[in-house]
Amino acid sequence: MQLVNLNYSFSILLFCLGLYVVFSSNNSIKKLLGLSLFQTSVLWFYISIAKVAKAQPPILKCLLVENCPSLYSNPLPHVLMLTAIVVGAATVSLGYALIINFENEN
Amino acid sequence: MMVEMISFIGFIFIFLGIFLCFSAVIGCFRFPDYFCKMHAATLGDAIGCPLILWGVAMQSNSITTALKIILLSLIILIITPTASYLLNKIALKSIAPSDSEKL
Amino acid sequence: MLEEILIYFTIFSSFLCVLFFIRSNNLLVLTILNSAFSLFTCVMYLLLDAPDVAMTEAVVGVLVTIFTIFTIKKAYKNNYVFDENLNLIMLTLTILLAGYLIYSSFDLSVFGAPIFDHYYLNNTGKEIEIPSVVAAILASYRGYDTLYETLVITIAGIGVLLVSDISNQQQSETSDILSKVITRFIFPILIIFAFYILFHGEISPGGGFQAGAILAASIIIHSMLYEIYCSSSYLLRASIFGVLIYFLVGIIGIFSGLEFLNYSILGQKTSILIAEIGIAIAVASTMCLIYLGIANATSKSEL
Repeated sequence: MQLVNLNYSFSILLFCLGLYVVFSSNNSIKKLLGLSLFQTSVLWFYISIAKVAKAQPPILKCLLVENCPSLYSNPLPHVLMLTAIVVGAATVSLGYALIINFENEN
Repeated sequence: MMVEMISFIGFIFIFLGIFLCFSAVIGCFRFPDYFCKMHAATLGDAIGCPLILWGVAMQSNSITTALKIILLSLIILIITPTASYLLNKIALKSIAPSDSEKL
Repeated sequence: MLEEILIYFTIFSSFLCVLFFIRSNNLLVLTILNSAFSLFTCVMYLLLDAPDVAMTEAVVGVLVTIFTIFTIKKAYKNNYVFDENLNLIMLTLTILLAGYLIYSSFDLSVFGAPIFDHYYLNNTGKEIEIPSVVAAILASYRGYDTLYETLVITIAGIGVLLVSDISNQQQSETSDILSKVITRFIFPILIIFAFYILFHGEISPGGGFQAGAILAASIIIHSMLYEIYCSSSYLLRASIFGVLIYFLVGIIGIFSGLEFLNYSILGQKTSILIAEIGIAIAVASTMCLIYLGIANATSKSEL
C-alpha cells in the first residue's frame, strides 16, 4: 500500500466501519451516528481527490492582488460536498425526530 | 527591527500557549477529582488558547488579520469561563463535593 | 513536509475517535466522540485546501451535537447505557469489503495529482468576475442543483414538523443570570458575523449555507434560555420564502425570453448575492424548525 494514498485508504476504511456500526448496533441513535460517520467518510474521499500538491485554495487572487499564484485545488468536489453536509445533517435530524416518536410509544 | 522583535515575542507566546494546553491535558488525566479536572481544562482553554492566538497575531503580515485574530481571542476569553461555570453548576447540583471522586 | 505530518496526525486522531466510537456503549460518550470526529474532519478539510467545506462542517457539527443531546434526553430519559456486543461475522465481512475497495483504489491517481485545463478555474474570472470559484459554481454554473438541494433541506424541516407534536411547549426563562448576560452579549455579535460571512461569500470562503447555520445557532442559543417567540408556522413560511427568493431570481430570466436561471438581466454578482440570501434564510429557518421539533416537543404518549 502506497503511503501517499493514505487518505483514500482511510476514507474507505471509515466507510466500511460506518457500515458495520449501522448493521450491528442495538441502539437507534448509535445507528444514526454510524450513518453520519458513513456520510462523512464519503465526503472525505471526494475532498481528498480534489487536492493538488503545493496549491492554493480555489479563491482567485488575480482579481484582488497583483501577483497571483497559478496553481489551485480542484473546486468542483468542494461544491458538491458543501450541500451534501447540510443535507446530511437535515436527514439525520429527521431520523432523530422519528426515533423520539417511536421510542416513546411504550 | 521592531517587526522582528514582535515576531520573536509572538514565537515565545505560541510556545507558552502550547505548554499550557499540554499541561492542561496532563492535569485532566492525573487529577483525582472532578472539580480539579475542570479547573485544569478551563485554564488550558481560557489562557492557553488566547496565548497561541496572540502569538499568531504578532507573527502575521497585515494588521487587519491581527485585529481579527485578537477579536476572536476576546470572544474565546468570554465564552470559555461561562461554559465551565455551567458545567460546574450542574455537577454541584447532582453530586456533593465530597463525593466528587465518583463523577 | 509539515503538511504531510499534520495530515498523518489528523488521520491518526480520527482513527482513535472511530475505534472508541465502535466499541462504546454509553450514549453520552458517543455524542462526545462524534463531535470530536467532526472537529478532526474540519481540520482535515482545511489541510486539504477546502476552507468552505471546513466552515460548513464546523457549524453543522455543532448543530448536530445539539440535536443529538436533545434526542437522547427525550427518547432515553435517564438510561444512557445499552448492551453492546461485537458481531464478528459482520466485522470480518466489512473488513474484507474494505480490503477489496482499498485494493481497487490503487488505480486512482496519486494523492495530489495536478489538474490541467479546468473549465471553471479558467473561465470564472472572465464570465462571472468573482474571486471565489466555489461560490460561482454553487450559485451560477450549477445553480439548478443548489436550488433543489435547498428545497430538500426545507422538506426535511417539514418532515420533522409532521412527526413531532409541538402543541404545548413548556419553556420558562431560566434563573441563571450569568448565562443570560453572556448570551445577550454574544447574540448580536453572532448575527453580525453571519451577515459578514453571507456578504463576503463571493470574495472569501463563505456563502449562504454557513451564514444560515450560524444564524440558526444564534437563535437556538437565545431560545434555550429565554421563552420561545417563533411559532412553527412562521418558521415554515420563512423557510419556503427563502427557496422562493432563489426561485424568483431564476424566473426573472423567463420573463425576458431567456431560459430559467439565466442571470444576464440583473448581472451575475447581484443574482448570486440574492440566491445566497435565499439559501441562508431557508437553511436558518429549517434548522430552527428542527430545533423546535426535537427539543420542545412533548412526546405523543404524554398527552
